[in-house]
Amino acid sequence: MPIFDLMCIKAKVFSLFLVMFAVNTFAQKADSLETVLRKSKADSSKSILLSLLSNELTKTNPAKALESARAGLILAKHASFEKGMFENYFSLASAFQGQASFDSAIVYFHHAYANAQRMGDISGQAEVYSGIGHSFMRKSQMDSSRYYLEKGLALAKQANNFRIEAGIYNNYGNVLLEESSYQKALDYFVMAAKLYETISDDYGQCLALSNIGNIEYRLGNYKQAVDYAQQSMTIARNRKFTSPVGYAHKLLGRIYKKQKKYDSAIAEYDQGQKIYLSLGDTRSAGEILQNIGNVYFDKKQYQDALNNYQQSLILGKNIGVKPLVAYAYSAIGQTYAILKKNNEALLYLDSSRVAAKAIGNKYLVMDSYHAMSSVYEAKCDYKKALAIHQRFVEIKDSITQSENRQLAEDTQAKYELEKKEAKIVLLEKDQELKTLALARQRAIQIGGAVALLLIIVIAFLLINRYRVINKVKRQTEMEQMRNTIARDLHDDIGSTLSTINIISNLAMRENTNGNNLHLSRIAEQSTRIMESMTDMVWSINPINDSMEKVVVKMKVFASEILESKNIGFRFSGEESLNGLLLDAEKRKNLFLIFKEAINNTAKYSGATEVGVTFKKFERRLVMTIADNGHGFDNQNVKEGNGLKNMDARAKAMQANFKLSSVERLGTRIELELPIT
Amino acid sequence: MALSVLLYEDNDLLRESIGSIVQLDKRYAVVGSFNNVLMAEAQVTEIKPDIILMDIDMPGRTGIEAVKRIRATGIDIPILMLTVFDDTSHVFDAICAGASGYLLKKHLSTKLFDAVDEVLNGGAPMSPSIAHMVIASMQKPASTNPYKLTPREKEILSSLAKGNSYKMIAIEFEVTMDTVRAHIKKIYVKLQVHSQTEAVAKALNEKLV
Repeated sequence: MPIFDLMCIKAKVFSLFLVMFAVNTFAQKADSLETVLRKSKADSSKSILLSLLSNELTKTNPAKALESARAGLILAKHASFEKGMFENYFSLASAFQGQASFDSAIVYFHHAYANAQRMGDISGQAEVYSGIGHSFMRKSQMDSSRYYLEKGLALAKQANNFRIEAGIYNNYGNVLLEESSYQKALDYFVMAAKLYETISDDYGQCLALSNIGNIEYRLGNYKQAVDYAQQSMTIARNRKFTSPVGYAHKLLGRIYKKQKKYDSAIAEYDQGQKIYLSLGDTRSAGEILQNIGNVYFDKKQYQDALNNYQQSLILGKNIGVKPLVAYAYSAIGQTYAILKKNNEALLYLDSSRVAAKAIGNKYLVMDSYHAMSSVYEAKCDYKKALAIHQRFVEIKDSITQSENRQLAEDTQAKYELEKKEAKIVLLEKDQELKTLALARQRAIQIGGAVALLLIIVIAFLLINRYRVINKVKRQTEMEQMRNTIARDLHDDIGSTLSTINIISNLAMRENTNGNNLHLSRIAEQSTRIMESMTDMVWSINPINDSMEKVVVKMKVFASEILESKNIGFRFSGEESLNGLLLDAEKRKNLFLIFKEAINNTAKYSGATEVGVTFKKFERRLVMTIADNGHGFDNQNVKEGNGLKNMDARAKAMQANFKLSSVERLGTRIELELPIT
Repeated sequence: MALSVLLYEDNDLLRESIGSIVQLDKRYAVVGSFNNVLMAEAQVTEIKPDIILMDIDMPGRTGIEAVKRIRATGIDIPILMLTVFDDTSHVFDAICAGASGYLLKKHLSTKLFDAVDEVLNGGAPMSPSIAHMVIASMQKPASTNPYKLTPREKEILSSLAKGNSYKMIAIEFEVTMDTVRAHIKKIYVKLQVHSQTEAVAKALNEKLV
């Protein structure tokens, strides 16, 4: 009977979870709580007590547990007592969870979460998430379950609440267990066990050890499984944790059954069942009775099996645990079917079908149809058998479909997710590549621009340099040529003029008594031309472009002219002109004006002292030549003595020329020329 | 006995005129005049004048070259260079080659005898531009003070380069004009000695001696 086996396993898994949430308490505790409740007056304390009472009753009296938590919630809301609201929401959710109403449980867990959040109770939030995760697991929504468990885990770690953290490891282990990832589940259970050990939570450790045992059992390591179950039991016995002792018995029973040690199995189950009964955990006791029945069933002691199933049915009906009742009906029906009591079988199987439908357990409905169909077949009522079989097929298909669909959806979702992730990765890679390409492109652009700019600048500089060099070269060449021409010309003409000069002088010596006026004029003019030619050649020579050179020439000229006439002279301010450059035209004009002035002084002034002063300003240069001679009347001399000449030269270089002379006091000329 | 003057000048008219001027003074006698210096060493060796007047710019061979050749034969007859310009390197080069002094052609009719007397008496004229050239050649990095001038000589040179006359220099350094002239003459000698050593060194390097 493979279907029946499946059912049994489901029932076992179910009971395992119930144990995990079991509270270590006795039935009497509920009574004492009720007594305290009656005595207390404040709504707040009453609400807390009601939630505690609800927790106590979850296993033994689910209906009353719900009622108690609802009452507590109303009181807490009335008193705006957040803590009370939280506790009662949590109790409500736990109670619904116990009733396998997981959707309702999740709703109330969310309420509790909101309260915990308002109170800033992180541990509370973690505990709620643990509960939600558990509920989703039971709904077989493993992804949601993982989501909440992980959030819960983070919160528990944040709150340093090791108990809740360990509890979440346990739940996570169960999720993995459901997914048949036994090895991973084992890891989580071990983590939980270690954590419980660290915080010396023996109760939790008992549960964890049992869970490990369960896994080992699943993995077929029966020896280890027994070992862990016994470890758990030892601790639980020492600490008088009754519930874990019961669970350990149950686990051992399950292991022995698997090992076909039927008698040992029944012995363990019996002990477990007694313990649960003493605890008032009727539900667990009922489940164990079914397990015992299953053992007898395997032993083909159908009557004994039937007895146990019946007892379980009675317990289930008493406390109104619908799944227990539904499974009990099914088990009884199938046993009757084996015993060929077809009518009884059909009766129970139909009841099982109805009960299963009421709690939405499609598997059980399917099992019932299947068994009923077989019974009708045995009764040779093939028509009915076929009809029922069709129902069976339908529901099987719907389950398979939904399972397939679920699977398909899961696969699809997984595939989509992977596809999306791949796409994202691809897009990211693409983006990266684009960014890289863009960066490279930009680098190339910038590099290109810089290179282009550099080339332009270099080209510009080169061209400019070339032009400047060329210009300078041309200019230099021109100047040199001009200079050479002037010198060659002057050398030739100079020699000739010297000759004329000498000859005229010789002639004057020979003709000592005659009129030498013409000859002396020739001598004078030839000297004059030689002088001005020298000056011209000097001025166009670029070597003489600095003011220093001009001053040197002025000094040489002054000493030549004035020293022979015993006229003292003094230069001042000429040092300030160092570095100042003048073009050929300006230095010629400046020197010629100076020369004219010195000549005039030497010839006409009768001075004994001449002062030459230079002053340099921002953009102009002032040259003053002053003597202490007898001076002259400006009006009378205006026409002659080269004064006009000086004035013209000054104008040619945009200079101001001032001549002032006071009779008997001296003459003073001032030249102010612009310099750039 | 009149001092013998040997004259080199390519301009015929000028050469004759100079000759005429020299003849004016009974102390001097022109013993030879040529329009080129191609045979100068031989002519000088043969004539042995008391003073040589030599134009710098002459076709075929310059006066500077001629001075070098004459000095190379060991003759130290005073040589007075004639030139139109005193601001080129020609005068400086001529001095370095061994010339005893120079006279600007424009001053021939007025200052010839003064210049000759000056040279014969061991004095020598020096223009600011020549002083400047001496200083500049001394400032060449490789040869700091190659002429081994004394500080006072250098002071006088730089004062000269500024355009100051001998008289002004004499006042500036509180010495007589003759002292200034003596200094200048010494500078001349040092310049010439230096260039001769340099020439010998150069010749040694080229294995001509």
